[in-house]
Amino acid sequence: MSNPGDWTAVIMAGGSGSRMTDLTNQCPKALLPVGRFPMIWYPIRSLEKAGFSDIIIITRQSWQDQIHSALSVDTGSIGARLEMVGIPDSEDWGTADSLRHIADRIRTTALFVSCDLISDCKLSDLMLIHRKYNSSLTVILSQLPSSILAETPVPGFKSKQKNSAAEKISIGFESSNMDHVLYWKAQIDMEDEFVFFTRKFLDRFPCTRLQSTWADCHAYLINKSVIRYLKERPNISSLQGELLPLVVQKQMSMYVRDRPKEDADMASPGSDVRVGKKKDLVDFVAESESDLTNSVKFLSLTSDSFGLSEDSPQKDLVRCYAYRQTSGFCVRANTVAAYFEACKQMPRLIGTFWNNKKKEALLNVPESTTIKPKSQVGADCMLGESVTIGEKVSVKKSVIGKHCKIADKVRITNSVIMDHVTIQDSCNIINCIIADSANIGDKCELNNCIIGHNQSIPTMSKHTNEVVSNVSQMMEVFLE
Amino acid sequence: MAPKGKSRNEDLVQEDILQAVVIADSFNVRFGPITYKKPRTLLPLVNIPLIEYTFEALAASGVQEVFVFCCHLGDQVREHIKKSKWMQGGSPMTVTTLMSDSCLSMGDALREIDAKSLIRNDFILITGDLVSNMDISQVVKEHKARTHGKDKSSVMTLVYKVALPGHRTRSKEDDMFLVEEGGTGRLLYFQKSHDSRKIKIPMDIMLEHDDIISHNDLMDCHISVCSPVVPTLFTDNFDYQTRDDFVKGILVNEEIMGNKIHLSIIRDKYAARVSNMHTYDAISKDVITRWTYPLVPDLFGSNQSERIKYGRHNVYCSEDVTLSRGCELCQDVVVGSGTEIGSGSVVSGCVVGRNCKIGENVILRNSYLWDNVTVEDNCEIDTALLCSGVKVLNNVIIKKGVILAWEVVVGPDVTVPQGTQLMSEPQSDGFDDTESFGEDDMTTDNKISNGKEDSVQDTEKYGQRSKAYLYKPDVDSDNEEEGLVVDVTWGLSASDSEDHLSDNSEEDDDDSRKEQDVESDLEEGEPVDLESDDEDEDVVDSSLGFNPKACMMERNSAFYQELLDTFLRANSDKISDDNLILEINSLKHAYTVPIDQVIHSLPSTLIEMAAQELKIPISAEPQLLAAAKKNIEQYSSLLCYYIKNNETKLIAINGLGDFVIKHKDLQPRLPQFLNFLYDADVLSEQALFGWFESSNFSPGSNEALRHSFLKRLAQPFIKWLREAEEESSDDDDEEED
Repeated sequence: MSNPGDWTAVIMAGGSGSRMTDLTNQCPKALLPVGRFPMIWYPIRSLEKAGFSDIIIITRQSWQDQIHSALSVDTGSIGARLEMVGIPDSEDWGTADSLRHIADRIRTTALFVSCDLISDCKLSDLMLIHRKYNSSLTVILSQLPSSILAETPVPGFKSKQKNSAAEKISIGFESSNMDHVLYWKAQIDMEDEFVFFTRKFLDRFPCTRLQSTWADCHAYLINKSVIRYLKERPNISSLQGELLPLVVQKQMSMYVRDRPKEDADMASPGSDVRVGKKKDLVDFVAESESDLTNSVKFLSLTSDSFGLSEDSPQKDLVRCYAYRQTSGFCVRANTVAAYFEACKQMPRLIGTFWNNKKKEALLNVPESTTIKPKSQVGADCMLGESVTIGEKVSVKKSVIGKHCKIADKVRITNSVIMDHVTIQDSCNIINCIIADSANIGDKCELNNCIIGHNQSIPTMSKHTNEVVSNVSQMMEVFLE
Repeated sequence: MAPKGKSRNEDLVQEDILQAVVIADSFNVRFGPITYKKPRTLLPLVNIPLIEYTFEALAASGVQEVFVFCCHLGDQVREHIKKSKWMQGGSPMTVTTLMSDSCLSMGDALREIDAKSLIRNDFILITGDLVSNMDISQVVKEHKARTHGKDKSSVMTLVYKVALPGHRTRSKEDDMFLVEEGGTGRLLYFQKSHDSRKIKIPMDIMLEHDDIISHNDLMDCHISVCSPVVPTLFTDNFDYQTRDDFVKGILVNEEIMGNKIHLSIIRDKYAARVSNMHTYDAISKDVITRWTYPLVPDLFGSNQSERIKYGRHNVYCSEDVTLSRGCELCQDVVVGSGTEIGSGSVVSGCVVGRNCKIGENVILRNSYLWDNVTVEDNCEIDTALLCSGVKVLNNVIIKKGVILAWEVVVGPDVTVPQGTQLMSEPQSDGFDDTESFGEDDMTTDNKISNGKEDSVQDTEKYGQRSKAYLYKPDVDSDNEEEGLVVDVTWGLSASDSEDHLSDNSEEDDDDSRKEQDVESDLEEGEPVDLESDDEDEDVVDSSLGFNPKACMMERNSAFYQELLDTFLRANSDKISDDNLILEINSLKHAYTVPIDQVIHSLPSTLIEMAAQELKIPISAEPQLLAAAKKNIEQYSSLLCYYIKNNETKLIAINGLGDFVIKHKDLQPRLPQFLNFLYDADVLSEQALFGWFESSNFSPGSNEALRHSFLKRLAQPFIKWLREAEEESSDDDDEEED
């Protein structure tokens, strides 16, 4: 294998896109077009750039072929060997379940990336952090792109727009080393009146900075020892929701060499805490280090944390670090809003995913495009292949997919139009997502709408803040 | 000073004057017998009165006007200031002394300052026992920038210094936990944290602020920069006694009043307050080892009459010191002028005052000798404080943590046990009335209790020619309690007082070795007594040493019975905890028992209650244990209501101890009972360890014997606790299927 450090790269593409059902009822989330490529293309490119040449893609069995064909059609630029691993459609597996499924194939460390991670950050930086601290688990955090969360109106219903604000996570960092993650709790779980810190925690990490401005990008580097631990705990089903907070917390547990036998006197209620206890994470981590390393650490007098008399490196077996991305673009396209934003950023970002920069100019408007005179296509737009654009058309800040036909005097602003869409004369489309093969009649006015797969919008229609989709979706429209 | 033009010019002039308010009273009795004769601010630290350090720090920060607020023994402070250089020409600041005998707290002082409307501008509020080399005017600037800029509502900026947990200058009493808003330095949450197993932050803070910093790495410097509105706020809120009250009040009422408090954190400067013996010791060492530069003995202590030389290994000697041949000043030593040290004496880590006489072959370690102290030949003094005029006669051994107040004489040929505090006159009521201002409940207890105490001069204990009376800061409650206070504050090395952190204190510290010796002595010497005592009926008085009745807290049996009945009734009628607390409180008043006794009785009541519910006699039956556990869990919040701090926890443990001593069957079960209380979060590790380690007994006394007996019973639990402590935090949330 030629992956760096014999690490395993895994893309999780089994998600159904439950937070953007308006778009994903026809097509797996991983294959939603973002710019000219399906979503999954972007994490593959990111991994390739970080040096991985063998990539495992975990997806549902029924989607395997679809994804395979999508990736082999128009993306000659992928050089890595892709391997599909199917998980049963019938079961509702979480990320951790999928991970357990392939646990045996991981030799040293696994890099897990979600298929919806669209970012220009360097995964190699994440890997550096992981190596630097000999971390057990490393995550990418990105500063919450506040523009997505707040201002821009999102296509679809207003009611659905209060999106990921509730998904804020309080993350605690060690003040003196902000890479070190000490605390992790989703704010949605904070039901109690108080947050508790044990004295032991405060003595070991006297100064903790708690921030809730970071978003978890669902890219994790996980050590084999953690995966082994995960294998023994079948009740953990989600990486972010369960495993990650647990590992963060387990940093406080101490490895006890030669656990002492229980005192005979103490065999009373309350003292049987440790009896029959399972092997803990820290035991797995300790095991993974050689005996010699352990002995050296045990005898060593030096310690990372200065000033704490009793602190020994012994305690630092489980470690959780983060790579905090502060600049650049990073989004998890798992909501309509994020997906929309990712699409619109693509004209600008696509260059970072290509090896060859020269191609960039060509990419946004391919040669196969036909544009009639007096039409304007802004530089911040991206057009697919074989797009036909009529006269006096104005396209601004938008992405248009392959083989679209756009008739005369159409104005498209701030919108995402997928493949094979036909738009008739004099339509005005603002802030919309129009899915594959839709047909928009003459003089339509669409504002903040999502037009579903294969929909036809009659002539002269006006829609604002609506989702036009198949029947079941229409029911929803009606109810709301 | 020339009178300035009255009208418009005045504003301009006032703008420039930097004012400071120095509270020259601590309003507590942390220094026990010493502050009886001298106010704390005049106690010498490395041979210079504390208040001089404070003035120097203020002058160096460019303060122009200082108000010194004196209460206890204020005349002495005023006299001192009158004679000091600050009142002479050329002084950079004007010092005004304000006297008030009626003030009982810092809050009162500020209210009085408000009444006199002395404050016209942002001012510095500090205590008169501060040692600092930082430039406070920088903090004033920060504060001004804030109040004139975007945060007009900031009323106070508190100065904190970075000191990791376990830092020696960090005072246990002052341990606190803070939450700061990231980026702005605004204080969001404040909690005194000593002796709590868990720190809780209100969830709202986490949800409302995106970026917060939790601090357990700070030490309070007791320097605050206040807006002129602060005295007014104290007047408006007459219940604010201390600055902590104020800070809490501001934070709680933030939404209503809109006032904010900010933090200023210093890293590379020095600022610390001498608040108890422990910090006195630590700060003295810091001065000697020059952390406080330029406030170091050779620069700061030298004046026209005295010149101090700075030598290798931090040895400071005045020029007219007489050192005999063969005496050795090892390291970190300060010797004041006119002092003589005899041959063969070894001095290390000590401050020796002026005109002291140290005899031959004396060993002085980590001790503080103030002026005119005489130590005769062959004495050994370790980690002790000897006030001015103390005489230690021949062949006296003074153990750790001893304080000899003014003019005490001990010896010859005696050993002063660990942690003893002696004074030269019997303790009197008057002393307490002037001294304990009732700042916290502990000192209030003193006031009541000390009156009853009759101190006897014990020539047998302290030597033939001694003039020494035992000082007891806290006579009403059990000895362990006092022991804890002393142990934590002073006398043991940092690692010892951090016992709850380290588990290695047993072997390698000679102090605990001594302690163990004492213990083993007891066990070897009198095990028969102990056993026989226990094997007899529980009522039996033993004439030998350990007398279970004598050392137990006197129980009001009627009260106890009534308490038990109340619990039984509460349990059957499902009376809520709140109402039960009311009932217990009214019982307390009805039987006029002190609160300590209520606490003392509570744990055993719950056990007896279990027995009565099951209608079985008190025995070690498993079902009784289970029922007791259930009861303790059920009433854990009620227990926590009464048993909330270190002292009360100790009382509770002793109450339990007395109970099992009385019921022989239960003796092996003490660990389990402690565990129940521990599991119910009533007792903390720290309290248990503190109780376990407490050693402040006169050897051979009832208390000591009882304690070592209980210690042996509790040994397995404490041992388990030490081991389990490492595990405890993740056990809480262990996800088991």
